[in-house]
Amino acid sequence: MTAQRSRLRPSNTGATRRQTQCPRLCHHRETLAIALGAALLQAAGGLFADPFIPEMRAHARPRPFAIMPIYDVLKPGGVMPFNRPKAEPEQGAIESVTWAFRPLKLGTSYDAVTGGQQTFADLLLKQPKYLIKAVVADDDGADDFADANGDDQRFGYDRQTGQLVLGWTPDANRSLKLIGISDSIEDHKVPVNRLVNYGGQGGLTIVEGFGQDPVNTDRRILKLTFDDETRYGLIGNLRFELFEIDAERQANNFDLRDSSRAIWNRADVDYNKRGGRIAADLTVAGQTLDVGVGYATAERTALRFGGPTTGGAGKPADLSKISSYQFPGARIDAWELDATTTFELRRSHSLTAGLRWEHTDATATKADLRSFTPGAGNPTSADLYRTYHGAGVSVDQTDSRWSAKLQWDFDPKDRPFDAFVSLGHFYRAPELQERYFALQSFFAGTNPRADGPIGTSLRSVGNPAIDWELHRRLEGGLTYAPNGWAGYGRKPGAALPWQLRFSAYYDDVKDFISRDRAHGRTPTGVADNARIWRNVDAELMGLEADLRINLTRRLASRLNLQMESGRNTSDGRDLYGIYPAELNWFLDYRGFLASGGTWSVGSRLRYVAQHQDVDADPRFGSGFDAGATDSYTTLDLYAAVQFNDRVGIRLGVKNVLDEQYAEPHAEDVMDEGSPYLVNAPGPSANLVLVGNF
Amino acid sequence: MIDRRAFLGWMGAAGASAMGISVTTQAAEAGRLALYGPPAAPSLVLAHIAESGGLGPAYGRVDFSVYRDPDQLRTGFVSGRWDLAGTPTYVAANMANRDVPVHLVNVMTFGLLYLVSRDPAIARFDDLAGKTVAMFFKGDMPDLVCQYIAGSKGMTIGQDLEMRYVATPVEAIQLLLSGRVDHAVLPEPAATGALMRGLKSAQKLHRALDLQEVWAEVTGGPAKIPQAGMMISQRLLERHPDIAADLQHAFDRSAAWVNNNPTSAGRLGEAYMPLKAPVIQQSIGYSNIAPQTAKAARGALEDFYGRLAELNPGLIGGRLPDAGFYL
Repeated sequence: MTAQRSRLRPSNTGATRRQTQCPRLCHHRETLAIALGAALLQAAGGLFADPFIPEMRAHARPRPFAIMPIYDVLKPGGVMPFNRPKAEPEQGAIESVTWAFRPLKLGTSYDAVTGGQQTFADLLLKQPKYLIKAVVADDDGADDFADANGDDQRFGYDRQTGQLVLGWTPDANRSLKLIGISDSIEDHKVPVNRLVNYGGQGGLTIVEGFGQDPVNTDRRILKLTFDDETRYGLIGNLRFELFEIDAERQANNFDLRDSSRAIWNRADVDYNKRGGRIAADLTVAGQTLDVGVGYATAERTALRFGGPTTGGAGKPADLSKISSYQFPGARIDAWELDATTTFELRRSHSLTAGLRWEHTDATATKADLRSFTPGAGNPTSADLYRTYHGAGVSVDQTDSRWSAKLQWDFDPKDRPFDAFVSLGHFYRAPELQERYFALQSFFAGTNPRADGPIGTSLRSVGNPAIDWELHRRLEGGLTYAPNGWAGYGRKPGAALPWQLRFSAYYDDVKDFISRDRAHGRTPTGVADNARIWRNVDAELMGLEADLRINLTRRLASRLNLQMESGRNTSDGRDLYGIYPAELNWFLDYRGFLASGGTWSVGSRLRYVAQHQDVDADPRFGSGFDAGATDSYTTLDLYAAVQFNDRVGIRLGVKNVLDEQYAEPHAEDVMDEGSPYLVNAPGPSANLVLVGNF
Repeated sequence: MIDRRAFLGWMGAAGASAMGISVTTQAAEAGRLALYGPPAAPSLVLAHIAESGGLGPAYGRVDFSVYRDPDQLRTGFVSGRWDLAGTPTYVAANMANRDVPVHLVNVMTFGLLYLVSRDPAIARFDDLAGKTVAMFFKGDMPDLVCQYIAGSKGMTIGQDLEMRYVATPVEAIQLLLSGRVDHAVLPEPAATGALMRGLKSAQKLHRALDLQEVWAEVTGGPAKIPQAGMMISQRLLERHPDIAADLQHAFDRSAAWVNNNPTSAGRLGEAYMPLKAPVIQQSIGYSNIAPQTAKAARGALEDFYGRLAELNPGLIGGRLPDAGFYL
């Protein structure tokens, strides 16, 4: 999350303990749990990334395209949501071009299967007192792709992203940075919705897939940071930050789709978040306390327009009338106070303790506004909340919570080993979507016929009074790297260098905020299959093991294993959004050109276990999992060459074995309450060209 | 106080080693050739030779190690456990003149010394008149080079120019960054390290003087100080009579690779040296890596040795080495 989007650093070197603490399987974490992907503040880089007490995000919530990194040479052609391995290979030989300490880098990449082309420029000008960094990327041409059977899968987008950083460092202790990011995505084609029947005759038929395409998304971030390492008496390392995030999206189901449909609709979404934080080190009785206070306010309004066609299919509905206040002026104001301190114990041992107090005021200013919802009259968002959560439910919610975490670290400087164990008791405040989402349905029927109108199963209804999630989390991890480990692919001596990184967690979650369908478990007992949010108890656990071995000076290998499981213990069913076990095996070989450069070749064999423990049946659970998947194995090959550290070429072929498969969970997709499995691309070649100047 | 060892563990140290610090331990074995070098850019050539197989199969497995202990180079060669190492050229001459059976294969670098200053007005050595300059390793080669230059310019150290002596280049950098001195003589990659640390701490430092250029100015010769080269034992030479030629061929090829691929070389070096890749990368362009056989460089070497001996004959063992010293 904190990494600069340009992937110019290897994942195998400089691994920090913090990275160990947050392995990739912590995918449900996010510092700012805000919708629209929103340009996480860390995306812009800053002073407050990676808090000691993790700030969790909604479990398995789909997110739109990540803003950072602005470009990624390991994702040639741009974003591909339907092929998402849990571990990525090295850049290979071209890394010396992308890493080079030079002011300008230019590059382009192409993916043959989507036709997507990404072109980027990365400028860095650094003087002792001034810094200018400008990065721009243009993604163009991505379109439908063929799966292994040759069938077309709907996909495509165009995108322009840019980042500008202006830095001023008046002296060795102080620095000021202004960071701006702009991201524009157009004509994003997503899997089209369709009717799916569960249980056959007399069962449940629901709509799965995306009802609209996000035809235009604009996101902007502005951030100002100030860092002062001067000591003022008891206070030092002063950090200050102001930020604003703006996002707008227009989505509809007609610009990019066939016009002969029974329902026409569009949606306008506006999101704004702004706030600030100040923190400093406070030294009291020889002990340093890192204290901080932060405030943020976030507002989200989303309006949906349209409805069933009037006067026959193909004739648009009235697209000027609001059919849903999807986000009815939802607003949350959040305060946070936190303090962290580390006690140095005996040699190489330390104990870190952290406390955090959070306070939120949440409301929905448009919850009582009536929409014009064909077939359903003029309901309000509050009507929906009351239908499922009781007549007394209030949209005004004020809560405060204390969180705490304790961590032991062992980090002997003279041994290739470190380890940590932590115990946390921390809360996650409900997100705006979880409290206030309110999508009306056009007809009140509870079980739409395959050829009939949409029923209540298409409703999505937040829960204004939902409780905060409480995580009681145990984590541990270790790194062991003997025999002069100097990074992946480096074997300076005769010994066999290897590195093992391992981390695991167990999370007992009380009041887990779960997606569900209305099966009579809400306070009103309504059972109409509407999509809802409710509190349950849950257990999650996972592990990641990463083993790297430098077999010879030229040949290196890496094994990465990730496993996790999740259980909704209240309802006695599997938890949605859990990934099956995945093993990635890399084999990389590198060589030298006579005097002009280096080259490399490599392979990745990826095995993903079958995934049967899913919550995919909307009759009994949330149906938020797209479906069960069989195991699959894919092979990717890649090769790279660079000349004089100035110009590099990387060629790759993904899915060489022509395996037909679908990822259990697509990533970088819009939120959709009832997703379906989308096949991954078949064999696909890709190309990256990069140069520096 | 930071000692030499600590200094070598820090980023700047390398150049100092290139001037007098040395060695590890490993016996020469059949089917295996061990190369040793200081943590400085010229050693990247050795690392590349080892990793690319640049010497060919006749020498078996070739390993490269960086030495960090100032005493180990001499110990290694005197004890016969070491056969091939990068070393300051005057150290090789000193050992040869003290009857250690060693020769000089080549000169790997023609100068690593710079004056780093916070004063942009410093453009010539004469501009240092009345200034105080941080200098490391009193009485050692860098100091003698500066003394020679000053003397040639009619300047007297202590009168026209103050030297503030410190134990290591790291201390010189610390004085410079803390503002206690405005100028420091530094070897590569310490000079690059100082400039990069200045960049990070909002201090504009300048690579004000290339002491190789100043050396040329006062000697009337080329802008080259034959500073470091490869020292080989008589024993290894007898075992592999063609090794000098093979080494020079490998050096030419690997030096070209290092100079052409500084980022790759920086990453290569990071695995061997206690230095960060960006520092290594940035220092390569200032390290004058241009291997030349010792025989071809004999004139330059003898000129250099002679000028050092004018100030301290003991530095090279009291006399110029015999002709057989230069391979």
